[in-house]
Amino acid sequence: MNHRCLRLPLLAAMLAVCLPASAERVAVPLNDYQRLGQRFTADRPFDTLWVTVPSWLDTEGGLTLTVWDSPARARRLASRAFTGIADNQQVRLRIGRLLPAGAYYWEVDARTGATLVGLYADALAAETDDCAYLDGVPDRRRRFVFAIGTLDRPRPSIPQLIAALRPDASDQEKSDACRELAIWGDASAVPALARLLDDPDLSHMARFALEAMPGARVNAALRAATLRLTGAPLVGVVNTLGVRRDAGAVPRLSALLRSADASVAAAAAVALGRIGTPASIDALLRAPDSLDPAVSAAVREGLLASADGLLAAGRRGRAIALYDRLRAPSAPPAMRVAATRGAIVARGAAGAELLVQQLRAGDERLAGAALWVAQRELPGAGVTAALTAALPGLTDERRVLLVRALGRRGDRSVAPTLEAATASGPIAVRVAALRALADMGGGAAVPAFVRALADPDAEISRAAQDALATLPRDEAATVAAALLRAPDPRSRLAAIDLALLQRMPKLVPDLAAAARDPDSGVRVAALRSLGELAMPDDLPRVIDALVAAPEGPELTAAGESLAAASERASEPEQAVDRLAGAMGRGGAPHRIAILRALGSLGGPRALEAVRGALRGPDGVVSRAAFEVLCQWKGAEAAPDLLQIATTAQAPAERTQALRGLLRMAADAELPADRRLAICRDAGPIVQRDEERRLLLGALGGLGTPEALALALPHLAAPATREEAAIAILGIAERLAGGPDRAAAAEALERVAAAGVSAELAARANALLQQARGV
Amino acid sequence: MSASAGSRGTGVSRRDFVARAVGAGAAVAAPWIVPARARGAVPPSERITAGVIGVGIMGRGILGYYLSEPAIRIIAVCEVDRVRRDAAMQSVQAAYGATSGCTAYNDYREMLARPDLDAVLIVTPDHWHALQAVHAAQAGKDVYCEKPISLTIAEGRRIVEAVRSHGCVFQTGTQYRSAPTIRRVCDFVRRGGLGKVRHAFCLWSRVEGGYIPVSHPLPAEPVPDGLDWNLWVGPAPWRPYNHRFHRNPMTEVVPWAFNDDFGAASVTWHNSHCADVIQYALGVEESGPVEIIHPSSGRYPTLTFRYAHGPLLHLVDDWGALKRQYGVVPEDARLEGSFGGVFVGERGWVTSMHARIEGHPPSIFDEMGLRNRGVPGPNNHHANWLECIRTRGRTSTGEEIGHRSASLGHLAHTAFRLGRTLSWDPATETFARDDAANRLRSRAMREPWRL
Repeated sequence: MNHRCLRLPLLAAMLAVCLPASAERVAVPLNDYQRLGQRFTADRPFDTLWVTVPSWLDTEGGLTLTVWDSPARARRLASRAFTGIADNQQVRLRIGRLLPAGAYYWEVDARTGATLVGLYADALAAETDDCAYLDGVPDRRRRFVFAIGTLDRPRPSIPQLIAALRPDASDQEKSDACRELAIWGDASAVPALARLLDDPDLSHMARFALEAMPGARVNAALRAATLRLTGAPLVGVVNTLGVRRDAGAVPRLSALLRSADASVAAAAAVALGRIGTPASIDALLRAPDSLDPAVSAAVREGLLASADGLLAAGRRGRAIALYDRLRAPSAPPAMRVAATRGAIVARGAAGAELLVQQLRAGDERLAGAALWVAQRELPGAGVTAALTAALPGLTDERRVLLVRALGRRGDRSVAPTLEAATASGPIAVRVAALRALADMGGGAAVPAFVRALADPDAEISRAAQDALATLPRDEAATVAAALLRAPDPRSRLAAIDLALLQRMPKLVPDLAAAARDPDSGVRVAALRSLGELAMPDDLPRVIDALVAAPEGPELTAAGESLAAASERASEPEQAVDRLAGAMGRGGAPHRIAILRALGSLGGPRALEAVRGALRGPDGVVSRAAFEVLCQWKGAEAAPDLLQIATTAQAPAERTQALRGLLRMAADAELPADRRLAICRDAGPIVQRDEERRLLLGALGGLGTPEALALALPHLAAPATREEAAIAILGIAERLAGGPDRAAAAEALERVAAAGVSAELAARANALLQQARGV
Repeated sequence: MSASAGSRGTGVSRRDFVARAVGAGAAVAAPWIVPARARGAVPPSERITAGVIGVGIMGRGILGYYLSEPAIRIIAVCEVDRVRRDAAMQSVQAAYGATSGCTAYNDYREMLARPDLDAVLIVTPDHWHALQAVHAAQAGKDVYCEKPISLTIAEGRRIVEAVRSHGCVFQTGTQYRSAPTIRRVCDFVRRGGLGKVRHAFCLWSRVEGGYIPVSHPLPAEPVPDGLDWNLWVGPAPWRPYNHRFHRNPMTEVVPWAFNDDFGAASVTWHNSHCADVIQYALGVEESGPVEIIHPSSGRYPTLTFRYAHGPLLHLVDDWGALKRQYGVVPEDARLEGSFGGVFVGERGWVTSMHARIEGHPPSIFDEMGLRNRGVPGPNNHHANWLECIRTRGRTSTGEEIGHRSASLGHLAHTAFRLGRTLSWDPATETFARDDAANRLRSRAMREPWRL
């Protein structure tokens, strides 16, 4: 159970359908043969019940949820058994019909599943009949958490909604009715809603409904309201008239444009702009110069909105006139940007001239607006040509930006210009051209990318590499294969990076060949790439590459790649045979790398090969085989390690083998019986406290009485007491609920009495209760 | 609604910067370059100046990221809760030093009035997103806006209009699509790697048993000292303060999203991310479905979107529904994670959730160029925003994309609310022959606010 995971605010909000909110919340378990219930009063019809169910473990539980007519349970209304309930899941009971408002009772019982489940209960401030029930007995100071509602929404009655707007209704009732009328209201609701506009606390909710409702009567009511309202409610109504684009309101809004209340005048200006008729535009154009900057700004925004509306309607000439007026040098910078953008776009293809002007002029904001337009609007080869022609006359900085913009226009007619720009000129422009060609997509620019790859300037080369990385995968594979044969090492390295970035296993033969490249850097990169890309069938190539690798970084890379490729082998035994067969090739360092790959594979056949190397004449290889053995993944190496740990001459070797053995015993991936056997075998040869702790760590992951028996003696020694207690707790936790609970209880008693930390003692006592069935 | 005390920064205008910065390779770093390559290469005088609006649980994360981003300078922090605002300012000072040049604001409109501010990061509750984005655009600022960018379809459309009209660079906070692995999966599906996509699936979380946010009243509580509750509610219907709107119930969970006036529940929690990547993969990221099929129709067991070119997008309570109700994936499919979705096509199926990528046939992983099935590592979402601010380019998740992914959620809410199947014209953004549904496309704002 994770109480914090319950979304309390959400739940409480839904509960408000029938219950007040609450502060104290606890989880109440549903025990076997128990019934937990809740009486409730629905204030409206409902067809669905939701109950939130906590659980006490990660496993899933079940219960049966039933709705009754009352706590007396005379008539069952709906019931359903739920299984597989996760912690805090809301179980939903659909009743199958709409139950009328009134008092009801629901109950959960018949717990099932592997875990304890229950309900959340809130404490109540006062006693009530709508309370929780435990086995049919009311607990008047608590209620269980639940919600009711309807899944299939019925269409509400408009007369009832209008009635909810009566003067003596609460604000909440009125607000709720307004929300519904926004969806369903018709002309009959307008008078009641219009009256509500005068109420400062509910004016917005009245508009919430009216703004959404179609019809001339709504507009008429809103216009009428502007004659009697002031302040914020008037601003709201004006805003709504603007949203509704009520052309009939223009005379009134034009008058309000001269209001002494700046907030009203500003609202009127924006509304007129949204309406966007000739009359409203004229009103805005004739607006008096306002002392209030907010009104002036609103008039400009209104005119901009009008211009945008005209442009959208195809009335370009009128739009251009407005945009040109708004982009006057005296206008605020943000407005100049917007109007300049509009002025360019409204002119269509002819706007290219204005576009280029902005790029050539000194104002950075307006140049930014031009670049913005060039990348989104005004498509067409003519505009592209005009922009391309402008390039030579620009500063380097502007050229960089325009080159990028040209790439993003996607007009291929500019490709030759961009390709030429990659070859000469300022570095920043060349880089921008490479990126622009990449933005355009397609492989036509590959030769330019390849040329740039070999450029002596690192930034150019890097940009070319990034550009190649954007090619479609098949195309990139072709390019990479070709580049692997390029004369310069940088191109060959770039090809390897590309193969890795786009993951191209089919290039493995080429990469294996590159492992013999004359350049050391290329060799190392190629060998590393084999580890990433080699598929199971490629293992012989990787082995060949390793055997041929010179000692040093190449062999290190080859060894790592061989291990990685071996781990991915689809047929491990075949891979072992191949690796074992290669043990006769190469020098000692190569054989050591192969041994490590055999260790990655694991299994009896690989172990046999490692044993052979262990017994071999080469001391260095034998030592490496021993280290591989100490890290072996499977239990089949346990006898080898036990023998070394018992009989080796060198103490360090004995210790290393023992630790390998204990590491194996702690490996949860291995079967428990094998791990227990290893612990049993290792116990007598463990000598140091550090090793005893390792042994106890392994035992703690097991769950048998014998593991307990092996751990208990270590409880006596102060140096291992805590670790022994932890191990015993771990074992006992697995035994406490089963047939060996007596053994677990006896061990836990000893832990509790052993003088361990208070926390461990408390855990032991808690488990003891469970083991004893308390 | 006055600005709190603090010195006004002397930040350098990005417009001035554009002219100088383009000479540096880092300043025009391509979107696919990992941000780390560019980090640290931007001189202080050439940084983009930005302000953060909202420093609740998400805003603190965004602020923390950008405080360590050399290409940007945070010169303003706006928050209506003084406690959070002060904490954010302390973070700024810890990152920049005592003379950080960052000013704290209670009212975002005062912050937007600063001429030296290039861009804003909007990380407020959902009911503020559209208004603040439009106001920022009108003030000439570039915008990053958390998802969902709107609470209604009309709000989203208004953002698109304002951003275009004012020539802004806008990015939606659906970073998930910028994860390289997710991009590869989506590109694969988009290019037809699965053949024709027949079905897509994504999760839709419930709110107390229902599928839409709730709007029931909560008891009034005293407004905490330092919280400007009137400004917090802003354009939404008035509600008295209750801590459940404002206090985070747990780590990484925003408090207000359950409420219909302030949030969009499942859309806020994760569905915006799902909608974004699914519509991208289906090639409809700037459009939308043509039908929203309610389960009451009996055609599909869960709410389903139908797109004009054929695919169906099903909303499911849990991933088990793909086996239990639709039978489109094998029993041993793990289907882990909430972001993203599952695609089922002619050739097989593939997931795009954040826990791991699964799919069939196995060869698709090689075709997608995926090294493994994890969804690891950083993404370039923020780097893309900065790059586009400098070059005035389109961001990876621009205004139309953000609007359409939010709209998908609003369409689902409308169908759930009305309990019926709806026909939708994504070109005109109207429902066919359904007055009630069309009315739910917008909401009146509380005075004096307007879009």
